[in-house]
Amino acid sequence: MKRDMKNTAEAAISGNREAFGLLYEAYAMDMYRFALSICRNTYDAQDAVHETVLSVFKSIRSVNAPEKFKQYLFSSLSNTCKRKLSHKNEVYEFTDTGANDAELEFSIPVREALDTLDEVSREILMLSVVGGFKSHEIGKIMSIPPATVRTRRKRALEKMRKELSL
Amino acid sequence: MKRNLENQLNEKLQVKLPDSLSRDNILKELHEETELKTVPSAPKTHRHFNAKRYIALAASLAIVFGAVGVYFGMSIEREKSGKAEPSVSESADIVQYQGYDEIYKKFNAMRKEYKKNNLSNGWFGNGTVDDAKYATDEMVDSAKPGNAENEAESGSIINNATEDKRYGTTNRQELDVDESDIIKTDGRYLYVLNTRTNLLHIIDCAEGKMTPVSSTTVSYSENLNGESSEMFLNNGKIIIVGMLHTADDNNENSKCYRYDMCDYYYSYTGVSIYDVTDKAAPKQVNSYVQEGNYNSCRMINSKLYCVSTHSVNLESDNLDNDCIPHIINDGKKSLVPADCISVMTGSDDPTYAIITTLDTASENAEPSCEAVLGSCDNMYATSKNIYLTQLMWNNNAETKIHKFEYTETGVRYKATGKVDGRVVNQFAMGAQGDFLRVAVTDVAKGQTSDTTNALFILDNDMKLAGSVQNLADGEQIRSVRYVGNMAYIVTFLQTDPLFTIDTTDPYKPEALGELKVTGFSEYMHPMGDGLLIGIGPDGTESGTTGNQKVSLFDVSDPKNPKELSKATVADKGYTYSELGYNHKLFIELPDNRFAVPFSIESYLYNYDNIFRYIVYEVKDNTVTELARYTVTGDDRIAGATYIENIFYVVNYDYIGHEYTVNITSFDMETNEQLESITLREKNHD
Repeated sequence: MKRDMKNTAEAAISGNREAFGLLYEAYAMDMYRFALSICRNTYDAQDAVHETVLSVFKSIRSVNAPEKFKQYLFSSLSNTCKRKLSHKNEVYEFTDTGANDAELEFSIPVREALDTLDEVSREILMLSVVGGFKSHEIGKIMSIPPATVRTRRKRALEKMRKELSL
Repeated sequence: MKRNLENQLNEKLQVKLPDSLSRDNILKELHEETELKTVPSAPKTHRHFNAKRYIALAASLAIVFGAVGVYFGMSIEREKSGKAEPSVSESADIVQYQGYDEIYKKFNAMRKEYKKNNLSNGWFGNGTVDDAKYATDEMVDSAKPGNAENEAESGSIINNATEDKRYGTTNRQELDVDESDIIKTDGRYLYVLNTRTNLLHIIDCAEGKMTPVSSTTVSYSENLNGESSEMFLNNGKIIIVGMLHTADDNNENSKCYRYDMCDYYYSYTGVSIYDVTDKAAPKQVNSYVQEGNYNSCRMINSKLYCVSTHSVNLESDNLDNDCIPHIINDGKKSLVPADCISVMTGSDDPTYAIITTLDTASENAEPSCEAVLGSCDNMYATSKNIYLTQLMWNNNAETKIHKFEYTETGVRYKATGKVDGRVVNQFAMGAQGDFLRVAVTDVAKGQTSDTTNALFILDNDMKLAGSVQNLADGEQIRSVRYVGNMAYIVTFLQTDPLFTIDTTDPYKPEALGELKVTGFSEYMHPMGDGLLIGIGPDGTESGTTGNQKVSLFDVSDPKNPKELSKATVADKGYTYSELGYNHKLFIELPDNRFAVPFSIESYLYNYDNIFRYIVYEVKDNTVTELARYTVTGDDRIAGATYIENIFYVVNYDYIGHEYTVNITSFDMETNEQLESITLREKNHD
């Protein structure tokens, strides 16, 4: 974690709301995109981010290490998204949310490409590409060995390269 | 190059941030919902509680309540705890029916419930994931199952005189129960399984020089494809277990309906047995498949016990057909007999745990089958019983433990116990005579704070006998080891209390001592003479440092556990050990030595990792580093073993779009690297 972010995180943890706001802003876009990949539509993704931020804010004092703040955030967000999924009916396809909100969603080719991945691989991919986490950090967030993370990530990347002609 | 790909992908994933998620809106919402207090952080103080008073209190409570063992059916009511509500008790019937009709009824009822609630039958939970399904096998001449006279005490023996220490053997939880691995040796040949390519490699290591002899594609029956997971070496045979799927990957019916960490959506578990008398030409002599995703397996003498979990698809058009688990042998599909299926009538989880037993010594043997409607996360086996844990989330974590006994031909379901909390891995369980000790962490769903830990002891019928509770509130169990009548539990949040618990009287277990050190142990290994080795992340008062450590603990006086010595592993990057996930990577060596693998992830963004097997010696109350054997590669360390004075490190690699296996040999006297061979896919014909 960068030095200035660490100070901000420390301030946020001790209760400074402005600091929390700054911290949130730094991660907002990545959190939203990550949530979008699991929830598959902008409304649920927005809800998930809201809920997570609220829940993290309420329990912020139990975050022990400022440098782990981002991990904590994404770990919490991941759980929230999955809990949302468990209460849904159709679940497994990206849903269309109307032309106005098109820019709030991934493009259709990207959505289709992501759909070819299983849940676990997709999450690993998003934590890496969007979250910027290293494999051992992803391993901690998802409770799987770092080696598995690397293998799955590599396969997922190759698949995406093929699907999106990168 | 890879960095570019991730960047490109990141660009494709750009979207606009919704207004509702702007910083101002969020801050506004936070302001409306909560009030920020300015008092200093309260929750942290509890960690500095006088732990000794806590333990004494817990122990005395255990004594008082131990005698009043209340239970409902087969559910275990949790003893007095800080929480207000009692544990959930179900209508706790386990039944075996005479025919399938009752089972059809049960599943049809489950389907009605499922459609009514419109829930996917996914269960969310962080059951421990055992990705490392390595197989190495050795001949184990040991106690027969059910031999009540010779109770091997859990993990109490190292440098067992009856074992041939000339070459390495798989690190097992119970010495008389063999465990599978991806590396095995018989003292002359190395057997290595490449799970990526489904190849069994046999290498001749005569006179310390490696000569590949054969590479065989592992095949399974019924034209099923998949990945081999791990293997046993037993009496001139290699027994391989694999995860198989039906040919059509997009077939809905072959998908796993549990939201857990399954690698792929497998629908069958395959067993394939090869006669390796002729190392150049291994010959398949038997094979069968069982429904479900592969979980774990064990061997006792020549009998194989293989566990899979199978989720029935409640949306199936042919539910009556699909709800009875089956195996396929010689093209013949056999349903598990109704009286070999144990159904928990109160359960609504359509998942089976299936155990097949095969006597690999008899030709053309057919597997026998036993199933319980209740799945499996972890397997623990002794020479007397098999225990399968099932993690369930009902607001809190609950673990059911299904107990099986051995019979002439297989296993038989006996009873189910239940404890509040979850187990960290198979080492959380340790049998003691007829009792089962289980160490658990109780976690509030979705949070990492608000945890507590306990040791429960269940009797022969899986009812609660005694317990020690409220250990290290706010922390989580990281590792457990049972040695004789003692239980050693490591918890961690900031500093590592190692608890020593005396279980001599299963009705009154007593927490005797506690040792706080920085960092924590992910794996513990008994060295005999009251010494314990702990390996895991190193730390300071405020947390972990990104280095690893090997600690030598003296637990001979359980009231005063001490850390005698510590060796640190620090490198130019984040260092961790896969040992925390896979205990088979621990290599016991003769003369009080052992070797442990460490992986270094560089801060530079690349995929080439460094793996070091470090050899340590325990002598004169000190643990000292003797040597480092280093290899590099993409992918992961697969394991290691030794023959005489040569140490072999095996790692998986990915070279030029090929999945390969590298084996590097080191002379344990000079510590020099001798040679390195790469086994490629295209090597075999």
